[in-house]
Amino acid sequence: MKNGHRPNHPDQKYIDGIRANDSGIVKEIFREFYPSIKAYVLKNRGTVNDAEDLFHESLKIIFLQAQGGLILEHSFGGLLHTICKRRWINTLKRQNRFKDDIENQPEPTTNQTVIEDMAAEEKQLLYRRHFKKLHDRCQEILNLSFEGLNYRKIAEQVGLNYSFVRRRAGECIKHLTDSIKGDPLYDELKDE
Amino acid sequence: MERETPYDLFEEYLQGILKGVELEKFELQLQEDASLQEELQLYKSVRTAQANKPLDEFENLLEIVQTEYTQKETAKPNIKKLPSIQIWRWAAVGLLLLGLGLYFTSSNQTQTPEVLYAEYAKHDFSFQELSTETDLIQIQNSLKEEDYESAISKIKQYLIEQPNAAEIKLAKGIALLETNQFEFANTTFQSLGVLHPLYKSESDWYQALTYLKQKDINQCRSFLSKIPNSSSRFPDAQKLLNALK
Repeated sequence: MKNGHRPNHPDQKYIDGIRANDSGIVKEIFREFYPSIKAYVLKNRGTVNDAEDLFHESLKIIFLQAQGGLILEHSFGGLLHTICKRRWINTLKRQNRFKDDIENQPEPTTNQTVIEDMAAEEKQLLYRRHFKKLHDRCQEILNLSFEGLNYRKIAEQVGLNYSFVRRRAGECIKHLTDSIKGDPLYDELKDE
Repeated sequence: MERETPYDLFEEYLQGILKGVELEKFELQLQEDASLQEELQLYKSVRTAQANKPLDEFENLLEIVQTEYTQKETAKPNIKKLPSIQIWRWAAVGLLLLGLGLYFTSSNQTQTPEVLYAEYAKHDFSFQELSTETDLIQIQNSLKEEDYESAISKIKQYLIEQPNAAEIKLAKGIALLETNQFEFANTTFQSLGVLHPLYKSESDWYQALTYLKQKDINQCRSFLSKIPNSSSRFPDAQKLLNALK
């Protein structure tokens, strides 16, 4: 639920802290919730790196929901665990590593709309992951172009010649969109 | 306006620059061409996703907190869980492992600054793709052949005519570094980071390598930790930081 009139759940502090980039709250979230997520991933065919990625990406989804005004109806831990577990099962399925023996306890009561409306956030994160894989120069040129700078100004800022910047910007965006379209997650999310 | 790629047209459309007949023609095309629609939608979504600057800050915060958390976890002693009666046995095993560790550390040369420098100083002279200008090709060839002295003199000539060519300044710094002209290399990287903020991470990375080559590990670490996770240098920087522990 993104808007409501009931008193806030006490765990709303986590959502507000995430939205405000509050390092104290984020540290508390790591202390309180990361160990159980890590244990879950390690028990279910994952590595420590997988656990870190999953935890970060799930928190980013909550961050994006928080930007949209998320109001918690149930515990923060329940929400985070449900997002992490669903995402991990989907990851295993995508990698053909999913088997029925995966730990799949009943999900705690949580904000169902958040869980069901994650596609938009997943898409944003997918685009950003692929953007980060671009060469630094590509990232710089595209970021400036997305900010509305024309190629002549970009060329001045990055210290390259104008015709190169124009050509390179096209190559970079082509490379980026091809790379996104080649990701199996893109097809999954396309129609959602 | 002359357009290099279809994305130029998308950008003009999204910025509201496209007007009149061109706009009508483009909108008609969009109605009829589903793949063009998909391309435009994807371009627009990427542009929007990338504009979320608060998310950049949150991603940085997550990296910082994760690093702190992991360091604390690694530093935690774990002996509390052992039955007290067995502690002396574990102490003996510990001493044995410590001895073995010291032996292997002293005999293992893979982590010396020289070896790390050789491993991490892989240079990407990507400006070769930039142009067909003869002087750039010559600079490129000298760098590829690791004839750094010759590259430096050609670069100096080039920079007289093109003083803002950041990519070439970076190449100059690298050539100076490879010829052990550390002070000049550092000055070049520093000024690159200041004059071209978009090259800040590259400047920090190469200053870190300059100190690594001089075996000044503390300074090297200090520059590596300045590289934000939004930079494509971040994974290398973190890997090197770990290797320096």
